Amino acid sequence: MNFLPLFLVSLTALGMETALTRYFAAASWSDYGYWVISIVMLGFAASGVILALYRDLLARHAALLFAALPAALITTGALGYTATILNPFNPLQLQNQVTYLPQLQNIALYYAALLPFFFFAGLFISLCFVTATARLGRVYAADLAGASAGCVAVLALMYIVPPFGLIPALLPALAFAAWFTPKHRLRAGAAATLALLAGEALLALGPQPAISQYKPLYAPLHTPGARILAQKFAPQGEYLLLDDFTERVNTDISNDAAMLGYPDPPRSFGLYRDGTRIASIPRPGAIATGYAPGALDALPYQLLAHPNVLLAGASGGFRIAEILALGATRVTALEPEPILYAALRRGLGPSPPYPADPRVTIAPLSPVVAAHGEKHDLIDISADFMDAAPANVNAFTTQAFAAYLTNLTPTGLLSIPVSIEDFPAYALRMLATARAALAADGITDPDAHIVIYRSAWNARLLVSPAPFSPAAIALIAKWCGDRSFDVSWYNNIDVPALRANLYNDLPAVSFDAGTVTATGPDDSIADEAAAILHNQPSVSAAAFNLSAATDDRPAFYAILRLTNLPLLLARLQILPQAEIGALVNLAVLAQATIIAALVLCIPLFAPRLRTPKHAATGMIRPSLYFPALALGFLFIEIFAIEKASALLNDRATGFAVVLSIMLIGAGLGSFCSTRFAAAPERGVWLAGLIVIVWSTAMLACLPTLLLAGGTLPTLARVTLIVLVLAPASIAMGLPFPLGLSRLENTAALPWAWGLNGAFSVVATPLANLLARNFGFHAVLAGAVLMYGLAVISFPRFGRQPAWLSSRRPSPVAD
Amino acid sequence: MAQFTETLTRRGLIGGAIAATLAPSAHAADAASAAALPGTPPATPNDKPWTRAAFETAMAASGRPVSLTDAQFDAIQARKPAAMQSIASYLAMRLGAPDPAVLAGFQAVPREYYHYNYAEHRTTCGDAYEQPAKPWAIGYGSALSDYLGQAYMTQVCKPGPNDISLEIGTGSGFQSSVLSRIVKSAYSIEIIEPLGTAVKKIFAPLGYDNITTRVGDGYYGWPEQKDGFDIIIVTCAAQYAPPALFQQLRPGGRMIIPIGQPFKQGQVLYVYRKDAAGKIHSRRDMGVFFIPMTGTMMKIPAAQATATPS
Repeated sequence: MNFLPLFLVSLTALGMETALTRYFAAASWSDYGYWVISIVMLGFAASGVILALYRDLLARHAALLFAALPAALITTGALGYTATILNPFNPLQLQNQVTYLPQLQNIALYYAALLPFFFFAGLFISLCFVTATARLGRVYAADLAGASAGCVAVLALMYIVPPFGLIPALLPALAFAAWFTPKHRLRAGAAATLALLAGEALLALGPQPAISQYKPLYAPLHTPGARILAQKFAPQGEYLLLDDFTERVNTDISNDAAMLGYPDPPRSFGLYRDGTRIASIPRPGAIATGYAPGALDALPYQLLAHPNVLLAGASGGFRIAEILALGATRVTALEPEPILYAALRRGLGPSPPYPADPRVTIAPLSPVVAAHGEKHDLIDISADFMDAAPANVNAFTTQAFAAYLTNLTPTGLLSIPVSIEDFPAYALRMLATARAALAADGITDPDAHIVIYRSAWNARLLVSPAPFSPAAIALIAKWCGDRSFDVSWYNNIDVPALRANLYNDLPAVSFDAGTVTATGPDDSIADEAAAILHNQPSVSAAAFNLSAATDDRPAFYAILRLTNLPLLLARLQILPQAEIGALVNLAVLAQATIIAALVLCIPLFAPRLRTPKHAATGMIRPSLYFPALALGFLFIEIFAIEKASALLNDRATGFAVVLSIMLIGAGLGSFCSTRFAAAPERGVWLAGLIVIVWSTAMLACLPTLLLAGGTLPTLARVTLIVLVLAPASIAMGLPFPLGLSRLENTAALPWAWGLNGAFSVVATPLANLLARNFGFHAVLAGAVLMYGLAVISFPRFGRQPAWLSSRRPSPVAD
Repeated sequence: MAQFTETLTRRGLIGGAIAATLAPSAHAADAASAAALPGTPPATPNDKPWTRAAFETAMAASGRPVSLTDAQFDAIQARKPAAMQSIASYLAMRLGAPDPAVLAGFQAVPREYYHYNYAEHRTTCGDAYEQPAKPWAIGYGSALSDYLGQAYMTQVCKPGPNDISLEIGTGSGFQSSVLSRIVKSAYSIEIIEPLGTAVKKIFAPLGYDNITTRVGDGYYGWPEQKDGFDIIIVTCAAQYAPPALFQQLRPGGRMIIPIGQPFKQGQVLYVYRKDAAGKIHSRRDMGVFFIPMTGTMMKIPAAQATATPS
């Protein structure tokens, strides 16, 4: 059997999947990329079911199918992408009970558009399994190698091709595959080449994709005189540097700034990633900082004289200039976002690099890693740091805060931002996290060690190893009062008196009842801060999950209680965009579970597959084994992606590295599975044992590994990930082909393939929800459980139902 | 320019017929509201009957020609009374009582005139006064917000006949139009060039001669208006309101910043006011999503406020 076509089809299938998630991230919002995973696996599962039901017929025509499918893939790929572009889906209308229904129809149209491609891809791959049952290990290895190559190829393409150009760049691989089919090569190649020419013409001349008109980029781009100054492509996204009159330093400045004589925040360039603004970038010339004393984040510089500052998030360089103007003597500025870091060091378009300054050190490190170096007087986290890169969320956990506090001088300060624009309750969750960090550092009376102050839009927590003195609190109160900011918490605060002197009324509401509960001027953060600090019940803590963010459960915008789904749907309109992903995961999980159940039950309902009495026993093991493998593999993959992203400080790179290693490793494992042909149970037991030992080691050693590896060069960190992940990946490549070998020459083989695909769809949203609600240790524990289940449910000889046997050898078997 | 013919769905015609059966006539409502508020601006555009011909003439004059049948136009008008009743009920539930001036403003402005997708050059007038109320895309990333949310925001602005208003983010022009029926003069700035250029032309055909618009940067407000503004609405703010706008806010004036995406049923509002000392105070108004507890419409003094929400 020639494995090259299989390799190329797998490459393209994974490449298309990745390209489509990038399409949704750019054209829409990345949360909706979960559907792509669902559509992919649904296509694969459906192909497995069809092949299970019509195995003999399809196997008889395998040669013809292998010749025709590349052209079919190219055609459905081009048409499906075009239909996707034309789909008028507006995710913003999903959050309105009056307008959501047509959007659900548009989602269904996405499935209709993209399913054919992935069905044909799954059919091609599963047909390879069916027609080469004597070489299942090598077939699986070629499949995984192709998928891995697809991952690497798309990653490389992302540096040179815009996200909307990835799919046209991938289609030629399918035409290439057609020229290597074993039979009907000339006709297959000609058909695929013609299809490629037509498909590329359609994609080049037909409807063109665009970033959603409802994303923040659109309005600035359409102002008079707007210009795009620079464009960069990267796996993290498509970056555009814009010059238009709306671009200014976006800082939370006092409403009384003009009255206080502060100049306006200066004009800047704007840097957008996939249509969302991530930073202001300096224009040529000196950075004006006259506004800095009027900004919310300036307060710590009034409390500390000439501090040595660890700054998390350089905000394009503006924050460095601001804090130097506010009196910092030394600044270690951390910018882990790769394009922002490059802009600081080398400039971007006409924006110059940050000027050399002996007081300033710029490093692409995470603040958690940097906090284990020299001590600082102030650790200042910029307001835009959390949203600048997905991996930055790891800087806002209990363990991170505890590390920062240990890094401070005895009178030092930690300054933590939190947006209260959507939900003021986020400030309470940040408070809970700070409280937990103080407790981890041995401080059990947090009241005196935390101050909260705010504007209408943002709050800041100041946390100190030493109690705040009355003089410091008086200074804080005056500073805030001068600028129409409010203080929401300090030790022994008089909350009723606070309400009488508010500048920014923040009324309390009941999320459950849908009512405003405040009866006058109110500060809903002040109302509940004491309860949060003492871990006591409060209204918000009952309505939301305000438990402290941890390294195990780092997702910060994850306070909705998903168990109260009817209430969440009733309040859908006020839910922040950052929380919508969880609901999308739930929807995908529900749909995936139904489909997986259908695939599982297909043999029960197919008349030709009606079983004799003893067959029920023989069906149970494959029904457990293959779903368990799918769940276990994906659980470990998602765990590994999260931890690799934290180590590499970048989610896109973490994703690509982990996926490549796991697919290559599993491919190697599959290749080696033939060594266990005589005793496949041993191979499965070995794999299960390795997974259990590896998972246990991860739970015990991972925090140390992450910390130790954080300061290494990028290549060394990637090598570390390879060394850690490879053994488990190779082991996880054994069970699937060994299980398939027990089903060779049976109709159950494609059914098992379909089961694996269907439960892979279940695994992704399930793992995300487990991680969100219980932590990543739960995901790892789930993986151990699944591999344990696989070990004990490995299909046995002599227990297969009669319907699974095919007396005739396949006419196209290798 | 090509003529566009609007084809109403059966839903629109049937809904209009039902509304006509259940609700008072539009003309009666016009007369009633005009009689209730002496001195208010004309209850219909140009103080003339708002007929199909008047509608088509105005649309053509604004560069958006459209052709309707009498049945189609009547169906739209037939839905209006029910929509007005919805607005009144909505404002009563959330703010205690509807402001008669706000109701008069919504009554006077023909909402179907603003149902237009400028990017697609397509009218959606047949959807006006829909039940339930919902937002509509008008192209270029903008939306015509649902009329309930707009009514809420209009009433929160507390518009009066001597007020001068400024809106940063003209959008469809509906908000400025409603305010213009209440205030002395309305100014509006749109930052998106193609949208602002098109919407600039829609006010004159209705006789709304107290609206002044332009395309450009709204950051510095409208400094030529030396007297400042009583009402400022900023629909495209970052995370702070431009200091120049506060300088142009008169003492006692209100600045409203809606936040969140425009396709929800209303938006959370930040409401700013300037005190006697010139210092700025803000209030987060979530009234479109959270209604006051029963019996708490009147604010009690802060000293009597409880320490934790009940």
